Amino acid sequence: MSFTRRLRRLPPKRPGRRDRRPGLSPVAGTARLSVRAPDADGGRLARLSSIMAALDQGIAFVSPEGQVAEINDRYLSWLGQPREAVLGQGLDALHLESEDYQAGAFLELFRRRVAHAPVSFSSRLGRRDVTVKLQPVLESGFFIGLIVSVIDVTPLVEARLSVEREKSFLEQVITIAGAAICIVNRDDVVVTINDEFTAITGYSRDQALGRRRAELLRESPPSPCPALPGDAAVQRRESHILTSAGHRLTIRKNAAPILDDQGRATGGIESFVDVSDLIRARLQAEEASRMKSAFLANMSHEIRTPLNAIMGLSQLLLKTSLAPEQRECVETMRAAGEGLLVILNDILDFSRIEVGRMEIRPAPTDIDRLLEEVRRVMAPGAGERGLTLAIERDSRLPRVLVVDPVRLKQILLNLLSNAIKFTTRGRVTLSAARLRSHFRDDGPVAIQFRVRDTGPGIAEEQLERIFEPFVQAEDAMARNPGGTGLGLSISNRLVRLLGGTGLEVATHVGRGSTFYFTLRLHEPEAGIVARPADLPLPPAADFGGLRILVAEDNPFNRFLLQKILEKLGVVSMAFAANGAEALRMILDATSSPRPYHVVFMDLRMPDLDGLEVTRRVRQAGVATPIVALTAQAADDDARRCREAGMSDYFSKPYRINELEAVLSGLVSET
Amino acid sequence: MHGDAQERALAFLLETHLLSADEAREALGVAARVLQSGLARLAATAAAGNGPACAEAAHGLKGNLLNLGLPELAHTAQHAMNVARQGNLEAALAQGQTLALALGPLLNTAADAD
Repeated sequence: MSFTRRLRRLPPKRPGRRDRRPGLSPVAGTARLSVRAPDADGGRLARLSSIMAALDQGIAFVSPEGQVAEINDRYLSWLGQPREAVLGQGLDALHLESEDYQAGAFLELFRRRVAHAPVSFSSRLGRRDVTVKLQPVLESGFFIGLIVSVIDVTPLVEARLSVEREKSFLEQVITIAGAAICIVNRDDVVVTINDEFTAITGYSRDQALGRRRAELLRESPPSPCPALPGDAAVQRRESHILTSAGHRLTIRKNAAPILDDQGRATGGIESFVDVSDLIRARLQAEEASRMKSAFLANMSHEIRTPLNAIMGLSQLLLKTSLAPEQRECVETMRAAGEGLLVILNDILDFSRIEVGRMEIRPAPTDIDRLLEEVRRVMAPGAGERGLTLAIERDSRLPRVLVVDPVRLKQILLNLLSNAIKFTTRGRVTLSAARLRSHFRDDGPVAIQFRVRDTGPGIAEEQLERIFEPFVQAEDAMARNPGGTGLGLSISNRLVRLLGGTGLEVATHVGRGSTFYFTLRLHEPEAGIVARPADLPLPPAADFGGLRILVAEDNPFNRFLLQKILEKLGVVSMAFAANGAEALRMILDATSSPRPYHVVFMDLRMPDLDGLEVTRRVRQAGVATPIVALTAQAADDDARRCREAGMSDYFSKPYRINELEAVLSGLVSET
Repeated sequence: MHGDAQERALAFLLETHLLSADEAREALGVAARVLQSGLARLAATAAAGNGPACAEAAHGLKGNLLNLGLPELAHTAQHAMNVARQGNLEAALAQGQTLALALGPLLNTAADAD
């Protein structure tokens, strides 16, 4: 006996009648069917009832009259009704509300008892999303009832909605992303783009979707399909693409495969931004910076040369007999010139630091000598103001350390100059001490340099800004209105360039200030020993073992360089009077057991100039340091020298200290 | 003041380049010959209408004058170089004559040495 057949036995056209046979009590529900009589039909009925009870879907049977004749527990639980409240009720009791057209049509046919074909539709049952199937039951061509089958699809719907929400979220992200986004499938065919992609490439969705990415963007250099298996990490690169209008753009992009939950690539995504303007702007900025530097170098040359003339002539005038008023005028002119030179140098230094062109040249440096040189420079100024200038040196300090002596001296001179300028009485002390916490046999030596004064001190509110460029304390403005306000800023940056953490200051208003900084400096490697201090300012290193070639066509410059090198203790020197001779000598020496340690090369020589000689030397694989000598002072010269392969560069007049620094660097390397 | 160029050059050689007195005098002698030669070349190339060679001569003079501690005269040489490059050889020649005048006593050192 089938479930439907059992119902078939119900008297037709008796709406509201309930099955009152034993074992079919609506209250007992389908569970009770299993304990009915064990005859053949009874057994089948029991099995069917058990199946109904076990189903996850709701099942109900509706009589041809439209009354609920049977319903399982699952359906009842979803309705939240007891069985007796549903059985015998009309279809409304099953909550089959739907706006589905086919459902409405079916129910209409059902009422007319002519429904034959099943229908399915989606509906809501309480809080559940369900799929309802209405299945007419026919027997021998007669319509005998309706099976209502309800499946809870809430989890599926929620999962689908979740996916849709996620998809919507991703679409929003893709839409508002500040970058072009292109998603491809595993065949590198474009499946999704965003508006930014269209804005950058000029391709609309219609033009882009379905086309191969490589053909669309014509990327150079070509990139592999982001969906290709391999490293799942984001690939970053810069490349060029062509827009729909044929314009070439530079893009910076990220690309990565899109992986499924098994880790398999289902496609790829790449995002990119157009950096053409940025790169153009960067190149323009670099060019502007280069031009600014060249301009500053040229200006320095063009200004300093006449300025030196003004100052030199002022000095000469001061040596003649002048009326007091004339003398005062000339003295003012000379002082103004000196002030202008300081400002000019400050601005140039600051500019070089800003554009990263301040070269630091560490070399073995006699610290005693450096401190003494600084003292000698500043002592007259301190004396004029009635101040005591003292140097305090820690006896534990090594005599020679590796540091850029020019820049270290520049920092100390600046700090001392400030201290003397703002101190009206008392003393200014420069000290160099080894820090106790950094005593180690190996590794760098930590040295703290301090410049202490008994000046007015600095107010707290001014402390925060004194290291900023173009900032001067009020007092400084009053005393030195012509200053640039760059001195401390330059010194602070120089300390950093020398490896320190910057300038620091301790100050008490009315009692004075101490500016200090710490450098960690290495001692020269073994074998580089400072010469005994047989002179007040002894050279820091022994250059007696160096072999030097001077390539200079001008006899006076050659003579002078020879004398200066001799002063520095250089013994072995050779000379070339033109470029061809220089080239031959360098190459010959290189293949001999006694190659040159360094070549000083004039840039302008007959036949081959210094740059060309250097290029040929480098082409021959010779690495001998070559130092350019020139009467120019443009940064462009320095660049050309570097590009030609020169190791260093300096302009005339020769300075013994600069030559010494170059040689010191060589000694430390040999 | 012309005589001062020689004095200043001598002082520069002694104090800045740390030459001994004998070395400095020897250097001045070398410098004088080189400067004379350079000035003659500047004049000859200017007269021949050879701007690049004239500028080259002026550049050589400039380097010598810088190494002698005579920046104001180096500036004059620089000016001669600039105008020679622009093709104004008459002005370059005039600058050369100015230099010759300013360096007169120093240049005579060469003659004395000879």
